[in-house]
Amino acid sequence: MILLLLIACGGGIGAVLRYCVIRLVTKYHRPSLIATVIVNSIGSFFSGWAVHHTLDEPIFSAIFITGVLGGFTTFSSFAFDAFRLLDAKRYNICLYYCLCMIIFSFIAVVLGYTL
Amino acid sequence: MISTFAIVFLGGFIGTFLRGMVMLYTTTWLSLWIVNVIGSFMIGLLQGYYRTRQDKKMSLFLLVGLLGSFTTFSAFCTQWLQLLERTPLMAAAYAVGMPLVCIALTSCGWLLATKGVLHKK
Repeated sequence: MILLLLIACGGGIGAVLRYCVIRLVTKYHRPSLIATVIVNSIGSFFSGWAVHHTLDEPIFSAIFITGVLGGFTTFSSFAFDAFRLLDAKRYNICLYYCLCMIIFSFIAVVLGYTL
Repeated sequence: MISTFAIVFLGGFIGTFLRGMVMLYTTTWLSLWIVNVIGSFMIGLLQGYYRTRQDKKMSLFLLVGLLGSFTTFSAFCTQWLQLLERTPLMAAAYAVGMPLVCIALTSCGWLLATKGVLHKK
């Protein structure tokens, strides 16, 4: 139970970090779509690294991977952004957005894992 | 006056706590599907709900904080990596399947909120 609360604290920290990235990106008048790509790529990179390197510290691993990184990355914003693009009939951009998100994140996780 | 960072932190705390609860009672694979599917549906619903209503703090708490932390992309990537090591074909299907299912559910939530029961003129 205490571990769950610690994981939740990590998730709160991750969410605040994500919010910082969103604010930073929108401050420079870039669409928040880019923030989601950045957040998910960075999060995937570190989770790839963490599954490989924190196996002998299960508590730290749970807080970092499930908590901080799980809270930092997001699937719901990605799904909603993609849906908005579809709704606006911008099919090409939607396709590119999904491809970018998936390919960048998968490259990041492989990089993190092999590092 | 509560800072927006505190609002997001609180939302993230609760969202991750809920995800942790789901993970406690199910397997890793199932829990990832559960959180992402429910979270995607809910974001469509709530975005539709807040489209016609002005409540910046509540939407920040629910959308960026709670739902953003409840769903996760990093676990999706690491599980994809595990699949890739075993069955590459399944990994490809997985990479396409989850986004498709989640986007479809987001549109269901959005339609329900903008055209259905929660619609406000």
